[in-house]
Amino acid sequence: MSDLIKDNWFVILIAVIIIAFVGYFIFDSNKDNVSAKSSDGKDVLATLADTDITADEMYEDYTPFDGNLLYNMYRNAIVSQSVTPTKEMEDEAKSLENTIRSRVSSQNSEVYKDAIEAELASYGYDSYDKLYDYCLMTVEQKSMNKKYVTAHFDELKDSMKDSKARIVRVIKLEVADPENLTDEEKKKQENIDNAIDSGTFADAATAFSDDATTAAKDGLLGYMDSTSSSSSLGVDQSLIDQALELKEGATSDWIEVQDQSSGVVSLYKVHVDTTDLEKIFNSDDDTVQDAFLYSILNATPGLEVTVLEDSAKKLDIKFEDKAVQEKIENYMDQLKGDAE
Amino acid sequence: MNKKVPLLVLSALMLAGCSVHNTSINDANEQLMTIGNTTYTKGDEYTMIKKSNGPALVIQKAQEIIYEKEVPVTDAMKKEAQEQFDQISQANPDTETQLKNLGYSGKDEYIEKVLLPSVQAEALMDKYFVDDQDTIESQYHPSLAQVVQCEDEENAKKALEALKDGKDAQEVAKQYAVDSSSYKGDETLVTTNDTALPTRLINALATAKKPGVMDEVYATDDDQPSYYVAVLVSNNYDENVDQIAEMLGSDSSLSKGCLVYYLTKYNFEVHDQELFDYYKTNSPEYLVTRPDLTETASETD
Repeated sequence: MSDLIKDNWFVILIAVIIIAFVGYFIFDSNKDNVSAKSSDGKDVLATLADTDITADEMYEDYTPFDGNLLYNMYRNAIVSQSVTPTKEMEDEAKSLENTIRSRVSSQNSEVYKDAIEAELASYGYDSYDKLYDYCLMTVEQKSMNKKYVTAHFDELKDSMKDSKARIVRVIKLEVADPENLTDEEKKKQENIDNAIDSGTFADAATAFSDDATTAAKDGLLGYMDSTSSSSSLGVDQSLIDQALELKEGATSDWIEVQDQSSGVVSLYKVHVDTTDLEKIFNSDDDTVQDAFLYSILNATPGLEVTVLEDSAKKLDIKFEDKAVQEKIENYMDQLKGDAE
Repeated sequence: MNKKVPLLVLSALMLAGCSVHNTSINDANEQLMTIGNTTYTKGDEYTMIKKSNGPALVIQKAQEIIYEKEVPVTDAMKKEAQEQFDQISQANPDTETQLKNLGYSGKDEYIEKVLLPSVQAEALMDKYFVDDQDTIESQYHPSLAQVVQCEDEENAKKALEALKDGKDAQEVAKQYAVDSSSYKGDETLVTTNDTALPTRLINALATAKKPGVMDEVYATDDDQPSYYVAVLVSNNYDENVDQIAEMLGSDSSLSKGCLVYYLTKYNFEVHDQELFDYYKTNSPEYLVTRPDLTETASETD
């Protein structure tokens, strides 16, 4: 035996090192693995004080409150089978997915990822890997809503007639002290006034506005109505109030507006392009179209459910569990404001 | 011995190391609804419930078990829960309808599932202050005292002399306390949460052998120090426990401490891999059967 060890000591040493390495690997990869447990044939989620908390128990406890989740699952299946995604839709979904994923990687990634996964599960998607599916569904549902609203625009536009809906453009003039303009600032202000008088507001904005983002879009700030808030638009409330006071085609005097983040006060000219609902709905700008669509959906409680039901009629739907059907219908009634 | 046996054993162990256990419900394949070409089963819904709400639901179930063991429902608790419901329904006459829309069968279920556990949670918190005295004492150094914040060191010395001469702390405060101070000789519970006070004063109050005037002026450790004198009323934990519970009961770190204490006492153990992984990332202090993880959690708190 000792001769065998002497003759093969090197091989044995290597074998011991390998076994130690593999042993550590096994220990390390096992240490966070939970032990399976069952109780009366049911899987156990956790134990406490010798009492088992089973998967079945948790499921049964939660199902009285699962109307929202069941509705989301129902909606996902209807939307994905009612809309054929175009290349543009896929690109938009991909962009949305990338935005969320980049936030995950820039923040405390594991915690944030868990939070996203939990959110996705409440929307009816069972893993973080389904993030794209969720994003695509939202884009598809927007397209479905748009198609329905387009087909029913004449009846739906009534809900917006008192909303002060409008498309707004702005020109920003940065000044050191709004109360005491320098000669240079006065000159620029005069040039802007002359450009508006002699041409279009859009051209004047492109040529003179100190706000690069809106200037690049002919001064377009976007869609606005009486429900718009400074947090949703990212501009000071005084600018919104001024824009909502103007008639179609009108331009405001110079107003002082405080920047939301820096607190710096600048001078603004505000212009209302149009208050015509059809023109707004058919705007060339996607963000205006989307914002107006959401406003119409918000102005008619349950409209999104109506759109979904309209699409559902074209699919073969069977509820094997009648309680599920009842819960989904109750939930949709609540969204439409028809609940008892 | 066959030379392949050790290799087979190692391979089997390695494979075992890669396996994880996720739970399922018994009738997971039972169908709920079929929409066109998509069929959802109970198992699908279970997965989504577990991922969206599982960590909170399991802790909620664990709390119910703890309540049953530590603070079982009494008639007084039932009465309190009923009174809470009466207040809610008086403020909102549509309460019962809204509860049904939320999924509750009615008032009784809401009281049983929401209000009674909330009353039990309060009772458990009170009990925790008795059960985990050592931790709370070492963490918060509680004591009942009359503290006076003085304008400057000179005034503080005069205030200390007046206290030593037997003058009442509130009277002393009228003469020497800073007008804007909240320490004007009133009897108050001092803890480490009183961040304005010098740490030395808090520790001295907590460890003093007997009640009475603290023997020195205590100053804060900053560029513009504040000066304090104090009279210890009591640092007997048992005597002060009700006041300690009342003052610290709303401290969120203590709520978590309370939960972890009873999870530890009753040996909470997770048997679902996804749940374990979630807790490991988000609330490792709940994994009480894994001290290596709970220690990491307390270090990062």
